Amino acid sequence: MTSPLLRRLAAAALLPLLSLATPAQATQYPLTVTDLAGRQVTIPRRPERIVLQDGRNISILAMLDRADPFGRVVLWNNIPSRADEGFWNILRGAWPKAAAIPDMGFGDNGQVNAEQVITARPQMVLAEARALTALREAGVDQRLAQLNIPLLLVDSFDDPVPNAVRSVELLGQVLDREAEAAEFASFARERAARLQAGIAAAGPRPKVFIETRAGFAGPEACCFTQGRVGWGPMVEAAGGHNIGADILPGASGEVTMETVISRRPDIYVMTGANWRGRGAVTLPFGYGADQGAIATSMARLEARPGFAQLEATRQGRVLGIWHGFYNHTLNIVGLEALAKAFHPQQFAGLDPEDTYRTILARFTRIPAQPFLVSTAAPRVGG
Amino acid sequence: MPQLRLAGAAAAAVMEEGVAIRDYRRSVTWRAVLLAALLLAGAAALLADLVVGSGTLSLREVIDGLLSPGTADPTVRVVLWELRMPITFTAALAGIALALAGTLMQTVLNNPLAEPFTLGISSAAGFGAAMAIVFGSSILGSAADWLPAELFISANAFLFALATVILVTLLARRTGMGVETVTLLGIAVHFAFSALLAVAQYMADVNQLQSLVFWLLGSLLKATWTKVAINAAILALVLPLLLSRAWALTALRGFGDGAVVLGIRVERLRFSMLVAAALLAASATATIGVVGFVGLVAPHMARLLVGEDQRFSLIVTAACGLLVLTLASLVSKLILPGAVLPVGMVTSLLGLPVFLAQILHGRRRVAH
Amino acid sequence: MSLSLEDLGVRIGRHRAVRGVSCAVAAGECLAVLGRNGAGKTSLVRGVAGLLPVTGAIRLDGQDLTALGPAERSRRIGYVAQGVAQLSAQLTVFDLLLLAQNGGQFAWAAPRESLHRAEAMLDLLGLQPLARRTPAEMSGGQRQMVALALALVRRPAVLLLDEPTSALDLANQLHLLELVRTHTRRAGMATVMVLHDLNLASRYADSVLMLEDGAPVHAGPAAEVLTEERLARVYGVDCRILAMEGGHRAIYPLARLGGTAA
Repeated sequence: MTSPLLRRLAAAALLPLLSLATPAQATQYPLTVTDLAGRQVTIPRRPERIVLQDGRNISILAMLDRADPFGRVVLWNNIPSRADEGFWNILRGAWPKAAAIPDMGFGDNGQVNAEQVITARPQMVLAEARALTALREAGVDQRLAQLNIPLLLVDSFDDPVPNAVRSVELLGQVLDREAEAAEFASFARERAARLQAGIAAAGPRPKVFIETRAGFAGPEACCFTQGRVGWGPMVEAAGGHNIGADILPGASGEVTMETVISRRPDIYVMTGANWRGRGAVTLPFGYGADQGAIATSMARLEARPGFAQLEATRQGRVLGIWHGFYNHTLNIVGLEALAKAFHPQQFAGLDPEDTYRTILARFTRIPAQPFLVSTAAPRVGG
Repeated sequence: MPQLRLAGAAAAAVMEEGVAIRDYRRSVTWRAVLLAALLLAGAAALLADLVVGSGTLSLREVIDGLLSPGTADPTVRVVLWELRMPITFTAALAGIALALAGTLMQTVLNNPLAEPFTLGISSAAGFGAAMAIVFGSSILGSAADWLPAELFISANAFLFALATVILVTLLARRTGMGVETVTLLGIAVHFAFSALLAVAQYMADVNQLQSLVFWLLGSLLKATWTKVAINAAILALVLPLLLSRAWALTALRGFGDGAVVLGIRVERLRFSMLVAAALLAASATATIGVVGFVGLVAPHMARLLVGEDQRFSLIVTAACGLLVLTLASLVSKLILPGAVLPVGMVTSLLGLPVFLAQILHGRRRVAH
Repeated sequence: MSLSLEDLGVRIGRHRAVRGVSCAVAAGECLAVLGRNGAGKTSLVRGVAGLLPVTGAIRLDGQDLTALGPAERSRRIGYVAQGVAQLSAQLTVFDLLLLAQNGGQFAWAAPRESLHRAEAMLDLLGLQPLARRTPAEMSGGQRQMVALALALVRRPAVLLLDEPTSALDLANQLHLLELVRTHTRRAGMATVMVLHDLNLASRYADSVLMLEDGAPVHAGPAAEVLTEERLARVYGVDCRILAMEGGHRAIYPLARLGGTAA
């Protein structure tokens, strides 16, 4: 085993050469990159066997290995099957062998089955940055380092707006798919730039309250929000001012309806997805969305005590949006939906559903199916 | 009945009252005064909780909203009557229920450290909630379909808690309702449900876990007028029952199993009081989640203030429970203005020093 | 009220601790129950008190107590248990006296009459200075007096005492038994007491019942039953009975007789 120091020196010597390389040139291995948790990771060879800690990262692979996103995946936490059944069904339909990939069975809290990971003999483990603490606590990162298996961290949660795209680029570089990555990245960045320009030209930022997982804990619960992660930065990037960040000390938490009323939000956003849960009032956005069910649920949530007193309700600026965008590679779609609601004049021409379709059609081979991003809530009478 | 002739100078006029009776009446008066003071403090705490809320209304607005709701600003009215009042009243009612459940358990189990959770009520309720949240199923099966969504989780928690206690007491009844048996069975139940609860937490996805966590830490934010009405009804049913058996409860405290000599059906009393405690604790837990220490601390406060006579102790315990939980509710809002700490967290933090003080102080006084 | 036991048997679980006891205690009289450890004395008394299941009849002026409900029965019976550790540490003597009277009630307020009776009892037994004290703050002798007061305040027709003097010093032993005898006579109660001390039994009891292995072996006036040979047979102890002034008899144990396991 060559000394890590020597390898770093070699990489350092190569780096200047790499920086001169245009994105179109093939990646040279061994490759040292800085991942999205700021770590220096060395990839010895092109990874053909990958373990996914967060199965939702399959979206990134879908853009890079378009013909067969699951080709490199030897083991994963199949979160889509549990959190986003519609999406999983589409994937499974298009790539049937995906169902045969062993599933470690954990959620997104960073847990992996270390034994399964090691015996799968991966050449890289791809994980979300937010999982790093859990991985460290379990000693997984150390064991991988001992076995010379690189652990690469991407992010779509801690700083979702820039990092979703950077994650694609990073993985593209690592997998020698830089061209494909660049296609999506330039599209997404161009759309993001359009948003920024529009926001700059628009008037003052509206005050926004974003209630995440609205109705999940029951029709009398209110109001859960995210401050500086997930939906928080999304709201800010879409040209709104997230009230939750002002109130919450931590990443997320519950805020009383009374407080929300007193902050007079201009816009109230409820996020939802097709969750199973008795006792929950769900907003089944996403795949297989039922507009009627959504409207009924939103009306029910708008009937909660105090809701009618909200400034946003009075102005009729209440909307629902698919929950998954808070940590999603395609969060540009979510941003567009929010921006359209925040600055309607500026972004009247935006069509988030179309953006979603376009991305999937142009940069992946995921079959198209109707996907509802967001709708306005029924107006509260009176 | 044979007449007992009095020794000494006491006249045939039995109505003359001596020192002992005077002392007794004085102590009764004193306890009544304490009780009144406590009730006043409780009312003050309720008012304070209403006034503070999440800090979005001025005192003037609150007073206007309370006194003349018809003419107040509709936002103020909604905030006060629809948002704040259910929370405040829920804290009050749950505090009373948990405190009473605690004192009943301490009496029945002869154990000053008993509280509603000693019989596994909290873990049972927690598991009931988990079953509803994570698995979407209910102990009622499909019969639960007609339940309004907001009561689905609570109902399951309630039924689990109640069923647990009844099961434990029925099992214990076979061996004569010995206190050790009941306590040990309760501990076993607690561990069993805690384990099941851990499984449910493990299987929960991130959304469900979020719901479950707030349930397990206690939260007043799911208070509705419906739940207030239900809890008030249960309390209205149970409290008079308890007061009518106040003497028997005192006898149980004073003599334990020996209370049989007074003609009290000890086994039956223990059973009925445990069921009452279960009803109270289950309804409180089903409404605000798992909140500890109130059931432990309030009876001790009452004992320090008015002693063991349950005629006073029961009401004072209820008042102390009201105070403790209302104050905890207040504190949970003040620490982080706008955001709300789970109330169970606050009671644990506040209750712990009180609990320790009780242990250390109690060591110096030997019971027998 | 006169008490009569008819073929009384007491069960503890499956074991018959007492069988075939038939005897009578007239109103105003004291019966002492004697016997070795494990002879069934305590079980007999607990059976009469209603704490253990019984067979046979317990008649109070003809009425069978076993046919009554627990509340009714307990109103007629006062029971002073062996040892006084049960008494709550937190309730005062006055509270306890009220409790003893009202404990079984479905009520809230203390009837005025029970207040007066409680006070009267304090006067009677000279316990006034202890009225506001709790049992934890008293000596063993005082606690035993309180236990007696609690039984008497209920104005029972039958008074049952299980080794009431075992924890008391000499003076208090005499004091308590004097009180018991005086009240038994005055109130016309039927008193049954389990005693170990044969001298106290011979002095304060009108009649004696001796039990051996759960069955009655001797019954009758103390002077008749307590003879040297009977004591030797039942207790396995060689005793001398001495006559003293004032008609008192003293029973002095000399030695254990060989061949009997003690």
